[in-house]
Amino acid sequence: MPKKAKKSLGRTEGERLVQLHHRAQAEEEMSKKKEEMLALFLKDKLQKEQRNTAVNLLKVTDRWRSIQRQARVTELRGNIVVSRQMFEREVDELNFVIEKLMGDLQGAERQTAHVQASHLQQLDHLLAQDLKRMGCLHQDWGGGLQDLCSSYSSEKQQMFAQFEEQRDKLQSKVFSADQHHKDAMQEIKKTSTDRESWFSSHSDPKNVQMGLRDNLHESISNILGSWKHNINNVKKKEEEVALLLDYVTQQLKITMRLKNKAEQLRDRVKATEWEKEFMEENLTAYRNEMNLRFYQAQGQVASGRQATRKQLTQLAVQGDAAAEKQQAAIAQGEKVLRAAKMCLKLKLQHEDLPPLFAPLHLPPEEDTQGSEDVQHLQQRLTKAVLQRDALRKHKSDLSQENVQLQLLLGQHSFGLHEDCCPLPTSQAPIISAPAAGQQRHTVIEAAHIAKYCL
Amino acid sequence: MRRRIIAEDPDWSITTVPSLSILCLQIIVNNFERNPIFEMLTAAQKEFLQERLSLSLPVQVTASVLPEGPYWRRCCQQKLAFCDVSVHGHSWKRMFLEKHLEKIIELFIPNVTDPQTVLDVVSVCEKYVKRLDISQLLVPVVEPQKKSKENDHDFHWKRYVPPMDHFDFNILLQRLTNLEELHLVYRIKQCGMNFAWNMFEMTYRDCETLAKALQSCKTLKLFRLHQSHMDDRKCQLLVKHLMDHPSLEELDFCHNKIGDVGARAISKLLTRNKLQTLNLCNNLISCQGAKAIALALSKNCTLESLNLLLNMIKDEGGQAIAEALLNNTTLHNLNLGGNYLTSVTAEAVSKVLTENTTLQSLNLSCNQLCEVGGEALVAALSQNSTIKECDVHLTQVDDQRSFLINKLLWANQMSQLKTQRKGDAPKKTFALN
Repeated sequence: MPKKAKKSLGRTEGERLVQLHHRAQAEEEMSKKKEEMLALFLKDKLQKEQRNTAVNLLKVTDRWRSIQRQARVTELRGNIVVSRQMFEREVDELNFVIEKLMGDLQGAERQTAHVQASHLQQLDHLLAQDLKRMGCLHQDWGGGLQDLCSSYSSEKQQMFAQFEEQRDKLQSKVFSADQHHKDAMQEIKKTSTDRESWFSSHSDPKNVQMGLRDNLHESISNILGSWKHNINNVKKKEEEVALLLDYVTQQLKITMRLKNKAEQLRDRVKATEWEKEFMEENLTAYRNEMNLRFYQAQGQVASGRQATRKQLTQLAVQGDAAAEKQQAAIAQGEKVLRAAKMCLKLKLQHEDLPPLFAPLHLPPEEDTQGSEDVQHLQQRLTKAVLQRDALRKHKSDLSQENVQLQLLLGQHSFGLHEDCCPLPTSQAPIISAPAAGQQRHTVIEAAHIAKYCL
Repeated sequence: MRRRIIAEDPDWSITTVPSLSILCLQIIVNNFERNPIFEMLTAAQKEFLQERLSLSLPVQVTASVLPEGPYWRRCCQQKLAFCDVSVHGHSWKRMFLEKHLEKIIELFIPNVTDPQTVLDVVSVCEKYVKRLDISQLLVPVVEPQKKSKENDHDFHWKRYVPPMDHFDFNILLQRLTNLEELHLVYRIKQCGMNFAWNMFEMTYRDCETLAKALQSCKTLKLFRLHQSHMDDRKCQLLVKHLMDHPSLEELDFCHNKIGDVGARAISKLLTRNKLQTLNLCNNLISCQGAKAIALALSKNCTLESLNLLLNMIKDEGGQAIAEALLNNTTLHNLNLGGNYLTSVTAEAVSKVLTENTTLQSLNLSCNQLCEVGGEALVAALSQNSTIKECDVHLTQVDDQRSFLINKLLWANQMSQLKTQRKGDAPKKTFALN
């Protein structure tokens, strides 16, 4: 031990330091380790705790949500029941409405079918009538057509018959003309042959020829003479014919001229007739116009008369009004006159002015005299009015003074016990207001005087 | 004869006193109701009477006494608003009596009016009435039911509606021994606000009574029952009773609701009866019905005019009828308009037209024939010389082709007219073209 103690002593200071150091280090390490372990442990614990808290939180939230869900479910179930009932009711109503509409639709369809059927029937009826009418018209048309055809064919036949008749006639005439022609030609041939034979028979013997020549000459001269005669006759006849023709043409011309003149005359007559009609129309038009104007004038006259009548009535009314006004004015004037008289009287009474007799004695001439008197009267009127007002005021003042005096007198009488003679009444002076004020003043003095008198 | 005025007498009248005969006739006129004297008079006196008789005399008195003449003309002109004498055989008496009876029937309220009124008139007019055109039939009076609030919602569950039976024709048709035409329609005119659909329908019981009545009427030539909501059942019932009817020539069931079953019944009627005209326009006949009718056509049949306008027979039915025409030699008029036909039917018809020589009038309007159908028709018409009318409007056939069709038809018509004219008068030489 002591070695160790010595060693330890020997070491102690150093080793102790070192040991301490070591121990401190170890302790530090230990503490550090412990701390680390603690830290780790704590971390683990923390993590565990965190996990636990997370899990717990999830659990809590789940539980909370389930509880809420349950509550919600019950709520919703109640809602479902209510809304189901509501929807069922609505569906029932809608079904009802649909059925009603279906019924209406069927009714409407039936009605339209009914109406269409009756419409169809009416149309069929109308169609049948139209077709009947068409048939009748067709028949009429056919009948008319047949009539026309028959009439045309009969006319045609008639015309053919006429035509053939005429043709036959013409043919017969042509035939007769041909025959005539042939006869004439035959005669001519005969005569020519006779002549030739005569010439031939009489050409050989000269005497016979001479005699014959003489005969011929005589006959020829006879023939020539007769020819000439004939020619003369023909010429005369031609001249006569020409004369006749001239005469006829002249007559024709005359008739034509006469016709023209007649036409002209007719035209003139027509023209004159037209003119006459025109004139008549004009005359009637004028007459109508004049009648119209006359009636218009009459109307105007009547209206003028009425207007004048109206005016007259108006004037009469106005005259009446004016007369009334005049009379009113007259009355007023009379009133004024009376007032003026009164004023004058008053004036005469109070002022001893020379009376204006002229206007007073000439009342009917008041209105006609000049405006000077009126102005004068007016002045007097105003004066009178003012005086009256002043008098009234004076009267009221006097009455007041009277009352006051009576009061005073009463007082005095109460004080005096004596008969007191009333104040001598004097005529109120017709002076303006300041006089009344002075009078008051004098009234008080009079009361004083009365006092001193008694 | 002149009369002098006597100035002192204020009651003097200038008119000449009528002769005694005229005075007597006046008295006869005034007392005609009590004492109808007519037969013993001369023709001039009868004329006089007829012009002056009061128009308010009861029909019972006048119908048996007065013959056709001015009296009935006056009656018609005064009492009837619009009348066409040619429809009633140009007889004023007949027209007046027929209209009178029609009016009574039209105003007959089934449980209210006394049927005796009808019978009275019938006994008087039975000799003259040949045609009845009844345009309305009244229903029994129904009291208005109390309205409750529920009614508006209950409309689709139909309330029980009391049967609305109309006039019973049994009492009438037996007695009308000369009746040749009967036109009926179950409707009410001017119903105003009281409208109800059952006023426009005939009930089953109506149908029964009508069928029995028709069977009893032996002289009927034309029976027309239109726009009365007649369906297959009622049609079958009526046809059953009309089977082997001795004189029925024309049957008109247009604007009803007849379907295939009814059409089949009618086709049986075609084979057994001697019908000349059959009008079934605006019904609900489809292919099967058309095939039945076609079968009847191809057998021995006297039908001259067939109208199937506005049904639904379609191409099958159209082809069936076209094929039936190959064997048929009586049909003159055929109307197949508005039946949803197409060019297939047009081609079938064209094939038939090349061989058929009796068909004169063909109507294929309002079908979708298109150009193919038009061409086929043009080709057929150029070979057919009897057909006079071929109506193809509203069929989508080109204008050009319809023009060609018209031209061919015109040529046919002209040639027929010419042959007619040639037969009439050989001398006529005019020519139109």
